[in-house]
Amino acid sequence: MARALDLISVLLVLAGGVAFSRGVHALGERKDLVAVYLLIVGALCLKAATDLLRPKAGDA
Amino acid sequence: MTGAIQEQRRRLFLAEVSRIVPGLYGWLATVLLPVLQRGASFWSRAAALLALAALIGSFVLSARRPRASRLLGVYGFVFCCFGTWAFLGALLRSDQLDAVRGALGAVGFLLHALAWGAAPRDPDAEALDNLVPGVALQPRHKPTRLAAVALGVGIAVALAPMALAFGVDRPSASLLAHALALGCGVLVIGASTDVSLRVGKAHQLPAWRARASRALWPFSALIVAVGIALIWLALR
Repeated sequence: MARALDLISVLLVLAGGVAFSRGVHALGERKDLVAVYLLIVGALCLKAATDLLRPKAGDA
Repeated sequence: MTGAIQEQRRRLFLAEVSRIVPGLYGWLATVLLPVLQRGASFWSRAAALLALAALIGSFVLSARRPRASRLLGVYGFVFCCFGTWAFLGALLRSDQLDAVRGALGAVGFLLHALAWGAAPRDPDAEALDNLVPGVALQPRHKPTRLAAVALGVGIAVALAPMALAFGVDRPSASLLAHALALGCGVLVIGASTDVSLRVGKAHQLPAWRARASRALWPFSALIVAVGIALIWLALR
């Protein structure tokens, strides 16, 4: 199960990068609301990816 | 003995001066010169002055209040610089900027970040060991194949927004697109580095249930965001 969570973290990083790319692309297409939405989704993906792997302050 | 103490104090003073010099240069190049233009609003000039005050305050407080100094030097200064740029409005359009001056100012801000990211040079460094909050640094370990994949994926997808930003041809949004793409790239590289350093270290991490629960709020927010998007698509 831990291995699956590692894999999910990598996929979330990929998803975050894709969301950011689509967000910048949407900005070029004058879809500002979609751009803001995708940038937020990208940030949430990266946050979830790092939180899955980050130990608590006392665990390290 | 007195000479040694004076020499140590001089070194500390120079270290603190060198910490604020890059930020001061970035401020001169990218904040002061734009607000001196004719037509700059009162609020942009006020924010620029506040940024300078935050930088000077961080220098003054560095010895007695290191945490407050850090808050002023990093967050206060950068927040006020952003405020200045926001209040400048149309004066900050890409066709009105000096590219060379902007690039040199960006180098100044990069050095500012590196200077504040460096470890404190105080001789009583052990007492300030928790100056930068966060978990303790992990010892090195042999990276797994998944770690290399995570880093490779991160670098590859971090480059994509920066390439796509060149496709934004609106003058009012092109600079914003490049700034956003740069920020996104930094975030993705940072996250992929974090992930690649930690994957495959299950024995040093809490159980999978604890790990999953730690990521509960970003996952919940993601589900809410996807739900909103689905509702919006259904109503269109």
